[in-house]
Amino acid sequence: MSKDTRHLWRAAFIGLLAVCGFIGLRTLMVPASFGSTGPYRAEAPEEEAARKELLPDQKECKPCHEARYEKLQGGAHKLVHCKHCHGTAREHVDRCKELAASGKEGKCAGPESGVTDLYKGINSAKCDKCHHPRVGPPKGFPMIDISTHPQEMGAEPTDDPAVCGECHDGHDPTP
Amino acid sequence: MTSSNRGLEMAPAANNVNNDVPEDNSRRNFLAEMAIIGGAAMSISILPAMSVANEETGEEHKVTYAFLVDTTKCIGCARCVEACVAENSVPEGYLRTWVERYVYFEDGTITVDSHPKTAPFSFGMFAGEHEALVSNSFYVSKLCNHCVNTPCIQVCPVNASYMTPEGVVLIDKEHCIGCSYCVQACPFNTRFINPVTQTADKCTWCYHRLKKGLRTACVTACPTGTRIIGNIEDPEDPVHIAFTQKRVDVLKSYMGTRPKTRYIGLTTDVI
Repeated sequence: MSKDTRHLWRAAFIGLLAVCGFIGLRTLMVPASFGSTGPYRAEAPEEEAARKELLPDQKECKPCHEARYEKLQGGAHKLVHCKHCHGTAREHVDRCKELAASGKEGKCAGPESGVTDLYKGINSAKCDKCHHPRVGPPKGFPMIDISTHPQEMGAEPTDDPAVCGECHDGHDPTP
Repeated sequence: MTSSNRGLEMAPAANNVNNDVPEDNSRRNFLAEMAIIGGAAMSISILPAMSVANEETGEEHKVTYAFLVDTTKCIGCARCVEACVAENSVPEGYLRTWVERYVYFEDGTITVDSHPKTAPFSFGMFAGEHEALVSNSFYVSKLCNHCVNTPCIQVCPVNASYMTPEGVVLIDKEHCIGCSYCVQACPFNTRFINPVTQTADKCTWCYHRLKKGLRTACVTACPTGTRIIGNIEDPEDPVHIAFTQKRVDVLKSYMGTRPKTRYIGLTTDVI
């Protein structure tokens, strides 16, 4: 075997090693399910979909709070989600469902229930989140300056956070 | 220029090579085969495979989700942003969706601003003493456009970015190496590197909610109906009706990404 041929054999051997190494590494690193549903790991969308949701749908509030729900639907706050004033209420909804499913006695709201993400009562800070004065909203959207609005309407100046509730019902806010 | 545009430009260039060198049969065959394989791969990634029944009519339809933002209804309360951050545990200082305010003044100048990136995400008064000079103003919600031709998926070196059969663009966090190539590739600035997971992160259209039959957190929280998500394959769906009957627009159409998030009431100044 001439010197040149040996060189070629050596190059071929290294090339073969490289190809085997590439195939081996690729087999190890590419997930088994890759490509079975598309160019991605097939379990990935399922893992993402399995994530627990936080915000309950408005319809989940309806079965227990039907009267309030109907009142809301009839007013200007029709599309305002319960969570904007009453908190995310995920723990509350889960607890209610759990109690209903098990048939056990118990509370799903209040201090003894262990539910921490539920709020009651009117608070001007919550109204202010959407209604504070600013440039930009479409014409007709009511923007209220809480520091002057009660006085303008003839009420005593006050720092009471429930001041909005004296004239407006959050479920149907038109005065 | 995104890689998607580069890809589109390469197709005719390849044909020119074929025409100039007709004797190069193997090369021509190779290019033709690659075109067929590429086309097949693209159609597979676009075609929806899932189907669900319409809630009201009970008819079975394929699912391809699409998002509609009616900017004429937006009041800029940023409750969508608040809901998104809570729902998806978005790290402080980062946003998966945000709202921009376009303010036009009488002298023809335009100013754009946004809310703070931290709670409570409220827009300020903005113009102050110049309020009298404002001639027009509106809000535009921004989120991942879940494009049909996705630059972000094309550039991912480890195939961690992908599109589900329903047309939702997601990130496989197990495989993302955090190289942030996709962050640069996105023309809409919707991606970021999550400082907690050290992987790319972005709006998922709340895929975990959609798969349970719920609407996305931002759509659920929107108090004005500005944001709607729906199935464009279902002729009864409000989003399908809007896409086919109203004058809807997309952001940066010149990028050729074909976004599935579309807008009502944009001006040409919105980018």
